[in-house]
Amino acid sequence: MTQAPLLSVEDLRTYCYTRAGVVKAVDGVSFALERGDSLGLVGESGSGKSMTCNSILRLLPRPAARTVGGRVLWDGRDLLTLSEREMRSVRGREIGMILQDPLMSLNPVFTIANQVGEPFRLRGAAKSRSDLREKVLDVLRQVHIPSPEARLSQYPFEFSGGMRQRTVAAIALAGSPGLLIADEPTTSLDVTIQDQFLRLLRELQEETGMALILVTHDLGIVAETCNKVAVMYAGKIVEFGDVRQVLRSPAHPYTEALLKALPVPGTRQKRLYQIPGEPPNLLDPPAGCAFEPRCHRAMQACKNARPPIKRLSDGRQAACLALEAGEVQ
Amino acid sequence: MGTILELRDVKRYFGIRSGGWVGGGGEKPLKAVDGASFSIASGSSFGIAGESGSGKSTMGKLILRLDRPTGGAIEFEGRDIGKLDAEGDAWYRTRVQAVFQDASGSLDPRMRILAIVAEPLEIHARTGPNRLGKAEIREKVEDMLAQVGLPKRVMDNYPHELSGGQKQRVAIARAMILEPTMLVLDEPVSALDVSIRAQVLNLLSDFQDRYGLTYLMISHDLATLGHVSSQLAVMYLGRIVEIGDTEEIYERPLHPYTKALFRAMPLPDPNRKKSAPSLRGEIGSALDIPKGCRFCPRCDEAMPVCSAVDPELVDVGAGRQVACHLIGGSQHTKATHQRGSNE
Amino acid sequence: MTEHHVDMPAENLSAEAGPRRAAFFRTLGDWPILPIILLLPIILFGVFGPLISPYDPSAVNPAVALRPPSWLTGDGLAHLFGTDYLGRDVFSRVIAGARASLLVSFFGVGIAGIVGITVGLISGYFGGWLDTVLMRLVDIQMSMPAILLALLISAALGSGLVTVIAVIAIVFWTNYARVVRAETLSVKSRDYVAMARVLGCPDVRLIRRHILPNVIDSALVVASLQLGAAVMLEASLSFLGLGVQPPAVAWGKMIAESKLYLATAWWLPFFPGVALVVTVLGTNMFGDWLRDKLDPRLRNT
Repeated sequence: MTQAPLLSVEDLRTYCYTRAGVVKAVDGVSFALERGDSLGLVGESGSGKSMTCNSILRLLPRPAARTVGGRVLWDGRDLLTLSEREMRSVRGREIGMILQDPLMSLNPVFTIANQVGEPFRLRGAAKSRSDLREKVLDVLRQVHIPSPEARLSQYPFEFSGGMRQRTVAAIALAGSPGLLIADEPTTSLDVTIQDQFLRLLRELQEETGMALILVTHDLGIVAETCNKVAVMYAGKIVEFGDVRQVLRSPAHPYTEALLKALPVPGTRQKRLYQIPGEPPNLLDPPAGCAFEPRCHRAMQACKNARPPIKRLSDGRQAACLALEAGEVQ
Repeated sequence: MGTILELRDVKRYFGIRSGGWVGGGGEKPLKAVDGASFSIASGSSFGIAGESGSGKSTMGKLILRLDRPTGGAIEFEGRDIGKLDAEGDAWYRTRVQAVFQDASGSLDPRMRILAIVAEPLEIHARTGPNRLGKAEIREKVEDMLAQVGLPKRVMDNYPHELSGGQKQRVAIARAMILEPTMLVLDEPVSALDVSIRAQVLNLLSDFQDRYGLTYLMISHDLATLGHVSSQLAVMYLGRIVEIGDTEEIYERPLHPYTKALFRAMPLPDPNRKKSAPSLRGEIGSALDIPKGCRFCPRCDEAMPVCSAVDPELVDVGAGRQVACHLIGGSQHTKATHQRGSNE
Repeated sequence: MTEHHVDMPAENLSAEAGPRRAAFFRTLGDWPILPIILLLPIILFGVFGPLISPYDPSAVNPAVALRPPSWLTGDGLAHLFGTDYLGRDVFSRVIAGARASLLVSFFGVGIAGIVGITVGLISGYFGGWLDTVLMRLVDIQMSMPAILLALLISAALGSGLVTVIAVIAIVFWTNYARVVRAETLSVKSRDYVAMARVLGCPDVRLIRRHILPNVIDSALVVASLQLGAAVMLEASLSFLGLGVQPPAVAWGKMIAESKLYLATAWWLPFFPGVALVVTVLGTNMFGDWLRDKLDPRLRNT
């Protein structure tokens, strides 16, 4: 690989400063994305997946959270060193974002046309009112909003959940971004609507070649939408690699356990495999591997040392001492 | 195994006179539940699947007597729960308990865990021959917390001091402390992380084995329902469109909507390739139900008759009922097996 | 089953208890210092009045009538706030007035609170025609000017301490009723209330155990804001001659009595006026602080 990747996150560290102490929400996360890649960022609540995205876009709730280290290389620049002004032009234009709850992302008192038109107006991209209208209609068509002309003057409350999320996607796409970050975009949607929306994301990716980071807790969604997957646990990526590889033969015991714990439809088992315990308290994380207390492959060494993420023979990366001991399946 | 709960043509319409004095008699009613009939065998697990707007949550409320049906009847252990007096209500409350989706929302933030789990005992066992003293109540709470896998010391905590999984365990302990015969589980694990979900599902399964409980689980998640329930009803816009043995429905869904639900279900299987889009459009409004089959506007297999005649649930054998013009009689065989091969 | 018990990580629970205690001490840092400074002397006056008071507030001494504050004339501490037209010590009377003002506003606001909270809970919880009737009652009452209402009640009950308390209670209960009703409606829709109904919780217990504790915060905030308004109303009533009767002393009454001497003896209205302003300001600021403190959405900011 001679060319630099589209996005390269290197040793990103974002800490939250709470009354009770410092939480290392993102603790040394590194990954790279190529054009057209779609990365599934998977983890449980509190694993740091949303924080990672917010750190990339520098949308952290300050002063509670601060990125204290690492680099986010985008288009040859380190996003973490840009001025707030430069960052604003990156957000929306170069990198788009979709959040979980579309109702929160849309302003209830403005029309759809107004809100979808906003990014064009901000950039001065429309020459005239009719040009703006055309651009808005184009992007609404792109996300398959039925009869967009009739929808322009409507307000968000007149839209269903799925349509709202499409509208949010339209706003994110208005800048023709090279990367779209979608943070649990379908959590508030029904299964059939979720399916429609994920299809839309795939289709938009194929059309525009943009890269996608999809934050989710659902491995099923990752399997259907992404080609790469990063599994996060307690602020760290524990496994990163090709979706097929990771889901078919997970290397890290956490990934393995997550897959095993899923109820499999159609086969009524008596008991599910269960991961014992709960995720660690990040205020007081274990000294060694964060997953060690719950891990079925834990060894004595796991208690003392934090495993570094290492490239395995098949190209993927995982952070587990048991793997280094040669226990790759 | 006898029948523990039976619903006969249960309806819940809103916006019409339902015993109250609320006006608007001439308006179009919102048909949240529009004629549901099924029965649950004692000791079994019954699942209700559906998207938002399907009426599944209203159904749960009706069964929990948080709401009253505007038509039909619900019988529990042979008694019509629409006709319970105060004593009958107390009886019902000790027999049927519930666990809701949002554990933080279903635990009173101002009460300690001890008080929360003890409350059913205080309500139902404070008077009469079963009267319990403070020490006995505490002992029972301790025992129940141990059964759900929580340490004694959480009794003095407030809900916000516990994790999501722990809160849901508290909710289960509260539901179980009166030793009910049936639990209504409304999305009990949807808000939980995957690693905690399996723990809670296993806990529920243990309780069922130990106490012979009957479960009614309401969920949008077919994978969870498929794991828990032995019988399954799929709801769409207030109607049950398919009902039968869970494994058979998973094996061979008949109703186009059920099939679409399965296609839309995300599976962690990178080899599954989804061809056809699962379903077009969105669920309609219960205020304005389409003429004919209510699924017709979204159905790929719709025929002219579908937009004219509302299909009845018909028996297609092996205890399965489907409400679809495509199914039934000779057309039964036309139902194609569309589920992706994935195991 | 025991073997399936999930080990609860000990740190998960204990880690919560530690910071809680620490957090308590840290909140000392954001105590309402200013409201406390303002209100503390008034409260001390009200509670320990007779002990602090240098003179009998009603003791007439024509020899020293209409003296300005003694420290202005070089007379030391004889009459800190001067004397009135009968030679009564204004400082002693301000102290005595604190008692009447506080008594009246605490009881008035308290009774209003009990009535208003009860009405709000019933109205919000049961809804239906009861709600409609009660809320119309509130509307009607709120559309009447407080002073007019006060005049009517005084006409019926005669003037005096009890009348003032009654007026305050009758004027103020509506605010509680509205706020508590709105809160009740929102709490009623929470899952834990539905759960309590599933448990077979009787209405009274449900209201007492689950709704009241969750709406009482808002009522407390209303109360603290109304204490100031109650002191004002008491003063207004006394000013109009409808308040406490001699020999009892009230700030409003003192201001009213000073009408004739405004040009010559500024200290007569000034000191009771300052006491009034300090009390109202202090309780309002305390109310603001309390609101921020109790609102979980503001608690963490």
